[in-house]
Amino acid sequence: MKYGARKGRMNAMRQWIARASAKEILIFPVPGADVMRLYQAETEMDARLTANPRESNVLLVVGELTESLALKAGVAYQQIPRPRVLVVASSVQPPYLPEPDVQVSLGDGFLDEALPQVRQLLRDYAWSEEAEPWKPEFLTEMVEDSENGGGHDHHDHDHGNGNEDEEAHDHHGGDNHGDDDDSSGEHNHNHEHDHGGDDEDGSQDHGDMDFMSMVAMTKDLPRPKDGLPMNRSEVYFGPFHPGLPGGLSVFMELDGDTVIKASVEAGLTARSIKEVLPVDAKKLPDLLAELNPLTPQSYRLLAQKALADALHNDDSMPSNVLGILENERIASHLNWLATFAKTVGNEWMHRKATRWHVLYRSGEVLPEKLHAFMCQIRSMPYLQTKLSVGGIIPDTLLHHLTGPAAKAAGKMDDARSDDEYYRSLGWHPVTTQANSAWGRLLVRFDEIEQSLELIQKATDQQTEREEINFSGSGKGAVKLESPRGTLKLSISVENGAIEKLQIESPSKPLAALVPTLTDEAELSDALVQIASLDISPWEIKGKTEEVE
Amino acid sequence: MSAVLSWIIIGILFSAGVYFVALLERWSMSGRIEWSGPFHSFLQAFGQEEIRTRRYDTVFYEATPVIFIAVVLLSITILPFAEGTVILDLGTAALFINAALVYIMVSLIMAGWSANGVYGMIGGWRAMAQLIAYSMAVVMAITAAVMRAESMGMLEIVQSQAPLWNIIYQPVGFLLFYFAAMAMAFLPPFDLPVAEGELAGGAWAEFTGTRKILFRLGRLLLILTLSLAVSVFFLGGWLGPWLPGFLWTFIKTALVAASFFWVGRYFPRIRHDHLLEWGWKYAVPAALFNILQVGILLLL
Repeated sequence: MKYGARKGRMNAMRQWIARASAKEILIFPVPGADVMRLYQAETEMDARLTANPRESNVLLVVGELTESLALKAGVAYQQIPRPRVLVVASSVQPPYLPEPDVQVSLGDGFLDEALPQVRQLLRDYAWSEEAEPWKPEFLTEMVEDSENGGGHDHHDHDHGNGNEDEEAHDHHGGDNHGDDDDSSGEHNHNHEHDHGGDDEDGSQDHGDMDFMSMVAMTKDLPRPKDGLPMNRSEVYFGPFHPGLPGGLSVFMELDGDTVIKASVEAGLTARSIKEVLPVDAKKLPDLLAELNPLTPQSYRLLAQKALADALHNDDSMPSNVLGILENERIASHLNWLATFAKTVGNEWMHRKATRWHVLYRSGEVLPEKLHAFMCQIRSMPYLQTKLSVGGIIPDTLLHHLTGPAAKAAGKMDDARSDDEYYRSLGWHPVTTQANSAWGRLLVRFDEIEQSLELIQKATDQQTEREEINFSGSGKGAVKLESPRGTLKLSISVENGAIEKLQIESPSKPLAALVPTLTDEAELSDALVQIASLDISPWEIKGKTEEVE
Repeated sequence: MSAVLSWIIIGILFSAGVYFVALLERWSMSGRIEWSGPFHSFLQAFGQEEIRTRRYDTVFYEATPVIFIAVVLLSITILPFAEGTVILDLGTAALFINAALVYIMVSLIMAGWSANGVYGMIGGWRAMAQLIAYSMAVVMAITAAVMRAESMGMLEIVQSQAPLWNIIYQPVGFLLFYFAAMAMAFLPPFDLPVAEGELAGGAWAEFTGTRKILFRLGRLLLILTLSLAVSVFFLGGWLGPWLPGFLWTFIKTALVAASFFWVGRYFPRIRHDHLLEWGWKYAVPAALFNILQVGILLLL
């Protein structure tokens, strides 16, 4: 708690406050609530999740972070007001963050172990004489960069600058004001809004004007399509945004609240497979599963299938494989719904979806009740109206696309169509003709129902998968329908080691849709559209994943 | 003596009301009733350090939380808790409450602006758009209630409902005022300025510690005040059999407050263009119809 406590002596009053605060644990999850929900039931923990580091007192790091993501987590940690606790649920200590106050291993219900320790720390060390301001170099640099460079022309906030340290009781002086630094781009922070628009010309700054004339203020601003110039601002949504998948970061240029430009930041969350290659063929399934924590089972199966294909083993899909795949599909869609409910702004839906997600993962689900829940959402007043605005995927962008987004647009491609076992169960892909966020929601619901049915039908045939001999050589190329779309993997194995590997994941074309879907959209629509695509940030790597 | 006693009781009941609304607010977020939750939450924020953003606007930043809560306290003064129990019996009370609560929007814009962040700024703009959408509905619904009472005084408005409550006399006006009140308190589905899943706290995102407490307390008071206003304008205020007047006022207020949170469960967040569209295309004609209907009933 060196960097987490407030400076000062613990007196009776502070003790009392600390005791009460220890009962109110507000967690800011990194990389996101969806990743946390894979291990910890959100509805069953004695703490709440927050949307914003300012409102929280715990930064929870779930799993291993890449360097670039850890940097953003470091900024988020600095934004949390003290007393604060850093919890890392991983065996690896992330860079750009101080020594964790509590470190637990990642596993089911890991918070049960961490929360008592967090409470203890908040109770005993909320104020401490040993407390020190956290001044890592990278943050100091960010502050300097944004203060010198960037050419940002601030509106009349000057009188605020001189007396930042006025209230001495935040002992860490000016440094923590560097929190919201635009080069860091953490989720709500904070690209100074550039009321000038043009960098050099201070005369646009309305602080300097005698008379605030809208015409004079806006005359030199760039004109958007609607002809109404407003303040341009550049802002990141994500990577820890409550309404987007955890780890997904979207950079937006806004004109007022209209999106001018938006693009997904690539290579932020996903780790490159390059770093770990060459790898034993035997380890490939686990490796791919680890790199994609949102849908580990699909990736494991994909790797197994590819190996079986490469080494000419039997690659038929027995029913337990179908069970694993379809179960993961349902769980993934429910987890998506929990995030999506946040984006559309219905707490009840969010709570129910997380509850169902938990029940589903623990196998206590009643299909009829889940069906009733989905019917309630389908008939929720206004939801269809809200989600049917915009979000049409143009045909030109459709051909790379698979999964629910493509199906909602009427494209039937599904890797399961080639599978005889699926066909023998009477399976056929679901489609709707609602090419919008609403359609994507409906397709996912239909898929959940279909998967429930498939699992029920398939339960009676249990066949064991035969042991694969990993020592051979060969090439394999397989497809698998993951919850987000078709995964393609081609590998070549040389004497039991992976020589070459290429993965095609559905999230890349989905991320490529973002600029089109959000063009000229109002901010809330843009976020709904992005969330409706269910992009997995773990699948978006910087370059194509081809390793030799 | 009895006046003093009833004021004490009203004071206690009002604090209990704030606590009750705080419980409801937590319930709407977590789905659980946590009896000590509001206190822990209050003390947690109290013990938090205050962080200000870089290049914040000092005057606005410091003034906003105070303005927010002051506006709400101002509007409480003119609402009657029981017959003759009103802090300020203002002749133009019906106009005053509307005028005072407009500053909620002003405070939100200032909050969004002052922290010097994009999320907050957009939250502030949304608060303004929202005001433009609901303001006509509020004013015109109040107008019809005032027409019936032939007075802008709150006591007269309640007394005019003795034969029949306004909710039955002018149901359209009630619905307009009810939803406009929800929009005014930016409760879900009208929580555009602070939208959690979009703006992560929006206009309030950058406030911590005691400033945040002022905002949150102000919001609770605002919800309570608006529930009280709904019961005064449309549910006959203190009127009711058997029980003393102030108890009726609080029962009605508590029910309205609970219903505010309950309604939010059934809708996703409203898009602001739809809100503006409905506010002007449907709510204004409906409010005009309401005024016409009340006028005809009064002439009969």
